[in-house]
Amino acid sequence: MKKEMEEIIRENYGDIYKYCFRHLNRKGEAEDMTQEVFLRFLTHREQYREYGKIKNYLYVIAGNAVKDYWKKHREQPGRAEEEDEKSGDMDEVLERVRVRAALDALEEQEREMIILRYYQELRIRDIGRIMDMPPSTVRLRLKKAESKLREQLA
Amino acid sequence: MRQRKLKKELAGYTVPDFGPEGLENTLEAVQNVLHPERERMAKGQFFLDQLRFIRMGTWARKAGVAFLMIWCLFFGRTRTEGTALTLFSMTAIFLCLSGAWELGGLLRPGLLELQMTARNSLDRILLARLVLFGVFDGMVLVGIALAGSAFGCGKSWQLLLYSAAPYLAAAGGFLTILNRGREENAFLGCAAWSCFLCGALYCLTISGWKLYAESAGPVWLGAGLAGVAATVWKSAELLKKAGGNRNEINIGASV
Repeated sequence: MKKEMEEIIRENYGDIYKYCFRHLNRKGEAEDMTQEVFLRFLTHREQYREYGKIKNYLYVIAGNAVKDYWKKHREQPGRAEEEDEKSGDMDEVLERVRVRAALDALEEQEREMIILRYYQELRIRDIGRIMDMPPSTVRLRLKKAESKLREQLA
Repeated sequence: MRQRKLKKELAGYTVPDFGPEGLENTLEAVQNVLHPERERMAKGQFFLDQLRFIRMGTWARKAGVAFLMIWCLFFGRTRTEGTALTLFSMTAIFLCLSGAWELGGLLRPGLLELQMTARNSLDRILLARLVLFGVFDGMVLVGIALAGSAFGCGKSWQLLLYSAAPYLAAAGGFLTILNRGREENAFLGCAAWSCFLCGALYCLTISGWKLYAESAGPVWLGAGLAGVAATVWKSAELLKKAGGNRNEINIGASV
Protein backbone atom coordinates (compact mmCIF):
# COMPACT_ATOMS: atom_id res chain seq x y z
CA MET A 1 0.00 0.00 0.00
CA LYS A 2 2.77 2.40 0.97
CA LYS A 3 4.77 1.88 -2.25
CA GLU A 4 1.67 2.01 -4.49
CA MET A 5 0.54 5.23 -2.89
CA GLU A 6 3.95 6.79 -3.38
CA GLU A 7 3.91 5.83 -7.06
CA ILE A 8 0.45 7.35 -7.53
CA ILE A 9 1.60 10.59 -5.95
CA ARG A 10 4.82 10.82 -7.96
CA GLU A 11 3.00 10.09 -11.23
CA ASN A 12 0.17 12.56 -10.71
CA TYR A 13 1.62 15.31 -8.54
CA GLY A 14 2.70 17.50 -11.46
CA ASP A 15 -0.64 17.38 -13.28
CA ILE A 16 -2.71 17.99 -10.19
CA TYR A 17 -0.43 20.86 -9.18
CA LYS A 18 -0.82 22.49 -12.60
CA TYR A 19 -4.60 22.05 -12.40
CA CYS A 20 -4.68 23.67 -8.97
CA PHE A 21 -2.40 26.48 -10.09
CA ARG A 22 -4.59 27.28 -13.09
CA HIS A 23 -7.51 27.73 -10.72
CA LEU A 24 -5.72 29.56 -7.92
CA ASN A 25 -2.85 31.31 -9.72
CA ARG A 26 -0.78 31.06 -6.50
CA LYS A 27 2.16 28.66 -6.34
CA GLY A 28 2.23 28.11 -2.58
CA GLU A 29 -1.48 27.60 -2.30
CA ALA A 30 -1.48 25.34 -5.35
CA GLU A 31 1.13 23.14 -3.64
CA ASP A 32 -0.90 23.08 -0.42
CA MET A 33 -4.04 22.22 -2.31
CA THR A 34 -2.24 19.46 -4.21
CA GLN A 35 -1.22 17.94 -0.89
CA GLU A 36 -4.80 18.24 0.32
CA VAL A 37 -6.04 16.46 -2.81
CA PHE A 38 -3.79 13.46 -2.17
CA LEU A 39 -4.71 13.31 1.50
CA ARG A 40 -8.38 13.35 0.60
CA PHE A 41 -7.74 10.67 -1.99
CA LEU A 42 -6.11 8.54 0.68
CA THR A 43 -9.11 8.74 2.96
CA HIS A 44 -11.64 8.12 0.17
CA ARG A 45 -9.69 5.81 -2.12
CA GLU A 46 -12.28 3.05 -1.96
CA GLN A 47 -14.65 5.27 -3.98
CA TYR A 48 -12.36 5.84 -6.95
CA ARG A 49 -13.76 2.98 -9.04
CA GLU A 50 -16.78 5.10 -9.98
CA TYR A 51 -14.55 7.39 -12.04
CA GLY A 52 -12.53 4.80 -13.91
CA LYS A 53 -8.96 5.98 -13.83
CA ILE A 54 -7.33 7.14 -10.64
CA LYS A 55 -6.41 10.39 -12.37
CA ASN A 56 -10.08 11.17 -13.08
CA TYR A 57 -10.88 10.73 -9.41
CA LEU A 58 -7.99 12.96 -8.46
CA TYR A 59 -9.39 15.69 -10.72
CA VAL A 60 -12.81 15.30 -9.10
CA ILE A 61 -11.24 15.73 -5.67
CA ALA A 62 -9.17 18.66 -6.91
CA GLY A 63 -12.27 20.31 -8.39
CA ASN A 64 -14.09 19.99 -5.08
CA ALA A 65 -11.05 21.30 -3.22
CA VAL A 66 -10.95 24.35 -5.49
CA LYS A 67 -14.67 25.00 -4.86
CA ASP A 68 -14.11 24.70 -1.11
CA TYR A 69 -11.18 27.10 -1.36
CA TRP A 70 -13.20 29.79 -3.11
CA LYS A 71 -16.12 29.34 -0.74
CA LYS A 72 -13.73 29.90 2.15
CA HIS A 73 -11.97 32.87 0.59
CA ARG A 74 -15.13 34.41 -0.89
CA GLU A 75 -13.29 35.71 -3.94
CA GLN A 76 -14.27 35.39 -7.58
CA PRO A 77 -12.23 32.61 -9.13
CA GLY A 78 -9.29 33.59 -11.31
CA ARG A 79 -8.83 37.09 -9.95
CA ALA A 80 -5.60 36.40 -8.06
CA GLU A 81 -2.81 38.55 -9.43
CA GLU A 82 0.07 37.37 -7.27
CA GLU A 83 1.94 35.11 -9.68
CA ASP A 84 1.60 37.56 -12.57
CA GLU A 85 3.43 40.20 -10.58
CA LYS A 86 6.32 37.86 -9.79
CA SER A 87 7.29 37.19 -13.41
CA GLY A 88 10.19 39.29 -14.72
CA ASP A 89 9.47 39.12 -18.46
CA MET A 90 6.93 41.77 -19.45
CA ASP A 91 5.80 39.97 -22.61
CA GLU A 92 5.21 36.77 -20.69
CA VAL A 93 3.30 38.64 -18.03
CA LEU A 94 1.12 40.39 -20.58
CA GLU A 95 0.42 37.16 -22.40
CA ARG A 96 -0.45 35.38 -19.16
CA VAL A 97 -2.76 38.18 -18.10
CA ARG A 98 -4.42 38.19 -21.51
CA VAL A 99 -5.09 34.45 -21.48
CA ARG A 100 -6.23 34.49 -17.85
CA ALA A 101 -8.64 37.33 -18.54
CA ALA A 102 -10.07 35.37 -21.46
CA LEU A 103 -10.50 32.30 -19.23
CA ASP A 104 -12.08 34.39 -16.47
CA ALA A 105 -14.67 35.64 -18.92
CA LEU A 106 -15.98 32.09 -19.36
CA GLU A 107 -18.55 30.49 -17.13
CA GLU A 108 -17.21 28.21 -14.42
CA GLN A 109 -18.14 24.99 -16.19
CA GLU A 110 -16.76 26.21 -19.52
CA ARG A 111 -13.50 27.24 -17.91
CA GLU A 112 -13.22 23.88 -16.22
CA MET A 113 -13.69 22.08 -19.54
CA ILE A 114 -11.06 24.22 -21.25
CA ILE A 115 -8.57 23.56 -18.46
CA LEU A 116 -9.19 19.83 -18.50
CA ARG A 117 -9.10 19.58 -22.31
CA TYR A 118 -6.34 21.99 -23.29
CA TYR A 119 -4.11 22.10 -20.26
CA GLN A 120 -4.58 18.72 -18.63
CA GLU A 121 -5.08 17.08 -22.06
CA LEU A 122 -7.86 14.75 -21.05
CA ARG A 123 -10.18 12.90 -23.41
CA ILE A 124 -13.79 13.92 -23.81
CA ARG A 125 -14.91 10.68 -22.17
CA ASP A 126 -12.74 11.31 -19.11
CA ILE A 127 -13.93 14.92 -18.85
CA GLY A 128 -17.49 13.58 -18.94
CA ARG A 129 -16.71 11.21 -16.05
CA ILE A 130 -15.10 13.95 -14.02
CA MET A 131 -17.85 16.47 -14.61
CA ASP A 132 -20.59 13.88 -14.46
CA MET A 133 -22.11 14.50 -17.88
CA PRO A 134 -22.37 12.49 -21.08
CA PRO A 135 -19.57 12.90 -23.67
CA SER A 136 -21.99 14.46 -26.18
CA THR A 137 -22.82 17.21 -23.69
CA VAL A 138 -19.13 17.77 -23.04
CA ARG A 139 -18.46 18.13 -26.81
CA LEU A 140 -21.29 20.61 -27.22
CA ARG A 141 -20.35 22.79 -24.26
CA LEU A 142 -16.67 22.60 -25.09
CA LYS A 143 -17.36 23.88 -28.62
CA LYS A 144 -19.31 26.78 -27.18
CA ALA A 145 -16.47 27.52 -24.72
CA GLU A 146 -13.87 27.38 -27.49
CA SER A 147 -15.71 29.90 -29.67
CA LYS A 148 -16.19 32.25 -26.71
CA LEU A 149 -12.50 31.94 -25.90
CA ARG A 150 -11.46 32.70 -29.49
CA GLU A 151 -13.54 35.87 -29.41
CA GLN A 152 -11.90 36.92 -26.17
CA LEU A 153 -8.40 36.20 -27.42
CA ALA A 154 -8.92 37.84 -30.81
CA MET B 1 -6.49 23.49 -37.17
CA ARG B 2 -8.50 26.02 -35.24
CA GLN B 3 -8.09 23.96 -32.11
CA ARG B 4 -4.33 23.84 -32.61
CA LYS B 5 -4.27 27.60 -32.94
CA LEU B 6 -6.35 27.96 -29.78
CA LYS B 7 -4.06 25.58 -27.96
CA LYS B 8 -1.04 27.62 -29.03
CA GLU B 9 -2.63 30.78 -27.72
CA LEU B 10 -3.64 29.14 -24.45
CA ALA B 11 -0.05 27.94 -23.96
CA GLY B 12 0.79 31.56 -23.10
CA TYR B 13 -0.61 30.90 -19.64
CA THR B 14 2.45 29.22 -18.17
CA VAL B 15 2.69 27.51 -14.80
CA PRO B 16 5.77 27.83 -12.59
CA ASP B 17 7.38 24.52 -11.63
CA PHE B 18 6.49 23.17 -8.23
CA GLY B 19 9.23 23.05 -5.63
CA PRO B 20 10.70 19.62 -4.71
CA GLU B 21 9.76 20.24 -1.06
CA GLY B 22 6.10 20.35 -2.09
CA LEU B 23 6.24 16.79 -3.34
CA GLU B 24 8.32 15.61 -0.36
CA ASN B 25 5.93 17.25 2.12
CA THR B 26 3.02 15.51 0.43
CA LEU B 27 4.76 12.14 0.62
CA GLU B 28 5.57 12.74 4.30
CA ALA B 29 1.98 13.76 5.08
CA VAL B 30 0.65 10.65 3.38
CA GLN B 31 3.08 8.45 5.33
CA ASN B 32 1.80 9.93 8.57
CA VAL B 33 -1.75 9.08 7.58
CA LEU B 34 -0.79 5.55 6.56
CA HIS B 35 1.28 5.07 9.73
CA PRO B 36 -0.34 7.14 12.48
CA GLU B 37 1.80 5.44 15.14
CA ARG B 38 4.68 7.57 13.84
CA GLU B 39 2.89 10.64 15.16
CA ARG B 40 2.03 9.04 18.47
CA MET B 41 4.09 9.36 21.56
CA ALA B 42 6.34 6.52 22.49
CA LYS B 43 5.09 4.56 25.49
CA GLY B 44 7.71 6.05 27.80
CA GLN B 45 6.86 9.55 26.62
CA PHE B 46 3.14 8.94 27.21
CA PHE B 47 3.87 7.61 30.70
CA LEU B 48 5.88 10.67 31.72
CA ASP B 49 3.38 12.96 30.01
CA GLN B 50 0.74 11.74 32.48
CA LEU B 51 2.60 13.66 35.18
CA ARG B 52 1.26 16.96 33.90
CA PHE B 53 -2.34 15.72 34.06
CA ILE B 54 -2.18 14.79 37.73
CA ARG B 55 -3.37 17.76 39.71
CA MET B 56 -0.91 19.72 41.83
CA GLY B 57 -3.28 19.30 44.74
CA THR B 58 -2.73 15.55 44.69
CA TRP B 59 1.04 15.93 44.93
CA ALA B 60 0.61 18.57 47.61
CA ARG B 61 -1.58 16.21 49.65
CA LYS B 62 0.95 13.41 49.28
CA ALA B 63 3.77 15.71 50.35
CA GLY B 64 1.73 16.86 53.30
CA VAL B 65 1.02 13.33 54.44
CA ALA B 66 4.68 12.36 53.96
CA PHE B 67 5.70 15.21 56.28
CA LEU B 68 3.09 14.08 58.77
CA MET B 69 4.58 10.56 58.67
CA ILE B 70 8.01 11.98 59.36
CA TRP B 71 6.64 14.06 62.23
CA CYS B 72 4.91 11.05 63.74
CA LEU B 73 8.08 9.05 63.57
CA PHE B 74 10.57 11.61 64.79
CA PHE B 75 8.61 13.80 67.13
CA GLY B 76 5.83 11.49 68.18
CA ARG B 77 8.37 9.30 69.92
CA THR B 78 8.54 11.84 72.69
CA ARG B 79 5.31 10.17 73.72
CA THR B 80 5.07 6.40 73.96
CA GLU B 81 6.74 4.59 71.11
CA GLY B 82 3.62 2.55 70.42
CA THR B 83 1.53 5.70 69.92
CA ALA B 84 4.08 7.20 67.55
CA LEU B 85 4.27 4.06 65.49
CA THR B 86 0.48 3.68 65.42
CA LEU B 87 0.17 7.20 64.12
CA PHE B 88 2.97 6.45 61.67
CA SER B 89 1.07 3.41 60.31
CA MET B 90 -2.16 5.40 60.13
CA THR B 91 -0.61 8.19 58.07
CA ALA B 92 0.63 5.59 55.58
CA ILE B 93 -3.05 4.77 54.94
CA PHE B 94 -3.75 8.42 54.19
CA LEU B 95 -0.78 8.53 51.83
CA CYS B 96 -2.61 5.92 49.77
CA LEU B 97 -5.95 7.72 50.12
CA SER B 98 -4.51 10.90 48.63
CA GLY B 99 -3.98 9.02 45.35
CA ALA B 100 -7.40 7.32 45.44
CA TRP B 101 -9.07 10.69 44.98
CA GLU B 102 -7.24 11.17 41.67
CA LEU B 103 -7.97 7.64 40.44
CA GLY B 104 -11.63 7.94 41.37
CA GLY B 105 -11.87 11.02 39.17
CA LEU B 106 -10.83 8.96 36.14
CA LEU B 107 -13.59 6.41 36.67
CA ARG B 108 -16.58 8.68 37.05
CA PRO B 109 -19.69 8.19 34.88
CA GLY B 110 -19.30 10.05 31.58
CA LEU B 111 -15.58 9.46 31.40
CA LEU B 112 -16.15 6.06 29.78
CA GLU B 113 -18.02 7.71 26.92
CA LEU B 114 -15.34 10.35 26.57
CA GLN B 115 -12.58 7.78 26.45
CA MET B 116 -14.11 6.22 23.35
CA THR B 117 -13.05 9.29 21.47
CA ALA B 118 -9.64 9.49 23.09
CA ARG B 119 -6.56 8.33 21.30
CA ASN B 120 -5.18 6.58 24.37
CA SER B 121 -7.61 4.29 26.15
CA LEU B 122 -8.53 4.78 29.77
CA ASP B 123 -6.75 1.63 30.92
CA ARG B 124 -3.42 3.02 29.73
CA ILE B 125 -4.04 6.29 31.52
CA LEU B 126 -5.12 4.49 34.68
CA LEU B 127 -2.09 2.19 34.57
CA ALA B 128 0.21 5.17 34.19
CA ARG B 129 -1.36 6.83 37.25
CA LEU B 130 -1.19 3.65 39.33
CA VAL B 131 2.47 3.18 38.50
CA LEU B 132 3.33 6.84 39.11
CA PHE B 133 1.62 6.87 42.49
CA GLY B 134 3.08 3.47 43.38
CA VAL B 135 6.60 4.62 42.59
CA PHE B 136 6.23 7.93 44.39
CA ASP B 137 4.64 6.45 47.49
CA GLY B 138 7.11 3.57 47.50
CA MET B 139 10.00 6.04 47.45
CA VAL B 140 8.39 7.99 50.30
CA LEU B 141 7.93 4.89 52.47
CA VAL B 142 11.41 3.54 51.80
CA GLY B 143 12.98 6.97 52.29
CA ILE B 144 11.25 7.55 55.59
CA ALA B 145 12.11 4.02 56.80
CA LEU B 146 15.79 4.53 55.98
CA ALA B 147 15.86 8.01 57.49
CA GLY B 148 14.04 6.84 60.58
CA SER B 149 16.49 3.98 60.97
CA ALA B 150 19.43 6.37 60.58
CA PHE B 151 18.04 8.57 63.35
CA GLY B 152 17.42 5.68 65.68
CA CYS B 153 13.62 5.48 65.41
CA GLY B 154 13.76 1.76 64.74
CA LYS B 155 15.05 -0.81 62.29
CA SER B 156 14.48 0.08 58.66
CA TRP B 157 12.70 -3.19 57.79
CA GLN B 158 10.35 -2.73 60.71
CA LEU B 159 9.55 0.86 59.84
CA LEU B 160 8.98 -0.16 56.24
CA LEU B 161 6.62 -2.95 57.29
CA TYR B 162 4.72 -0.67 59.70
CA SER B 163 3.99 1.74 56.87
CA ALA B 164 3.83 -0.53 53.83
CA ALA B 165 1.45 -3.13 55.25
CA PRO B 166 -1.34 -0.66 56.12
CA TYR B 167 -0.65 1.20 52.86
CA LEU B 168 -1.13 -1.98 50.82
CA ALA B 169 -4.19 -3.00 52.81
CA ALA B 170 -5.63 0.43 52.10
CA ALA B 171 -4.71 0.17 48.40
CA GLY B 172 -6.38 -3.22 48.03
CA GLY B 173 -9.54 -1.87 49.64
CA PHE B 174 -9.61 1.32 47.57
CA LEU B 175 -9.21 -0.59 44.33
CA THR B 176 -12.03 -2.95 45.34
CA ILE B 177 -14.29 0.04 46.03
CA LEU B 178 -13.36 1.77 42.77
CA ASN B 179 -13.99 -1.51 40.93
CA ARG B 180 -17.44 -1.94 42.35
CA GLY B 181 -18.74 1.55 42.09
CA ARG B 182 -18.49 4.25 39.46
CA GLU B 183 -20.46 6.68 41.57
CA GLU B 184 -19.14 10.10 42.32
CA ASN B 185 -19.05 9.26 46.02
CA ALA B 186 -16.70 6.29 45.57
CA PHE B 187 -14.13 8.41 47.35
CA LEU B 188 -16.36 8.44 50.44
CA GLY B 189 -16.17 4.65 50.40
CA CYS B 190 -12.39 4.88 50.26
CA ALA B 191 -12.38 7.35 53.14
CA ALA B 192 -14.60 5.01 55.15
CA TRP B 193 -12.19 2.12 54.49
CA SER B 194 -9.31 4.31 55.68
CA CYS B 195 -11.15 5.12 58.87
CA PHE B 196 -11.90 1.44 59.36
CA LEU B 197 -8.23 0.50 58.99
CA CYS B 198 -7.14 3.29 61.34
CA GLY B 199 -9.73 2.15 63.86
CA ALA B 200 -8.54 -1.44 63.56
CA LEU B 201 -4.94 -0.36 64.15
CA TYR B 202 -5.95 1.69 67.16
CA CYS B 203 -7.98 -1.15 68.63
CA LEU B 204 -5.10 -3.57 68.17
CA THR B 205 -2.73 -1.14 69.86
CA ILE B 206 -4.91 -0.52 72.89
CA SER B 207 -5.77 -4.20 73.19
CA GLY B 208 -2.41 -4.75 74.85
CA TRP B 209 -0.96 -6.82 72.06
CA LYS B 210 2.63 -5.77 71.33
CA LEU B 211 1.88 -4.94 67.74
CA TYR B 212 5.13 -3.09 67.17
CA ALA B 213 7.44 -5.59 68.82
CA GLU B 214 9.98 -7.42 66.69
CA SER B 215 8.14 -10.67 67.32
CA ALA B 216 5.12 -9.29 65.46
CA GLY B 217 7.23 -8.91 62.33
CA PRO B 218 5.83 -12.00 60.57
CA VAL B 219 2.29 -10.73 61.17
CA TRP B 220 3.15 -7.44 59.50
CA LEU B 221 4.87 -9.29 56.68
CA GLY B 222 1.84 -11.53 56.16
CA ALA B 223 -0.46 -8.52 56.16
CA GLY B 224 1.83 -6.78 53.67
CA LEU B 225 1.89 -9.74 51.32
CA ALA B 226 -1.90 -10.07 51.52
CA GLY B 227 -2.09 -6.37 50.69
CA VAL B 228 0.20 -6.85 47.68
CA ALA B 229 -1.93 -9.73 46.40
CA ALA B 230 -5.16 -7.77 46.82
CA THR B 231 -3.67 -4.70 45.16
CA VAL B 232 -2.36 -6.59 42.16
CA TRP B 233 -5.59 -8.58 41.74
CA LYS B 234 -7.90 -5.60 42.01
CA SER B 235 -5.63 -3.44 39.82
CA ALA B 236 -5.83 -6.03 37.06
CA GLU B 237 -9.62 -6.16 37.39
CA LEU B 238 -9.95 -2.42 37.34
CA LEU B 239 -7.68 -2.03 34.30
CA LYS B 240 -9.71 -4.61 32.43
CA LYS B 241 -12.96 -2.82 33.23
CA ALA B 242 -11.60 0.59 32.38
CA GLY B 243 -10.07 -0.53 29.12
CA GLY B 244 -10.91 0.35 25.52
CA ASN B 245 -14.02 -0.59 23.54
CA ARG B 246 -12.85 -4.18 23.19
CA ASN B 247 -12.99 -4.68 26.94
CA GLU B 248 -16.28 -2.81 27.20
CA ILE B 249 -17.87 -5.13 24.67
CA ASN B 250 -16.49 -8.25 26.39
CA ILE B 251 -17.71 -7.17 29.81
CA GLY B 252 -21.05 -6.13 28.41
CA ALA B 253 -21.01 -2.50 29.37
CA SER B 254 -20.64 -1.24 25.79
CA VAL B 255 -22.82 1.75 24.87
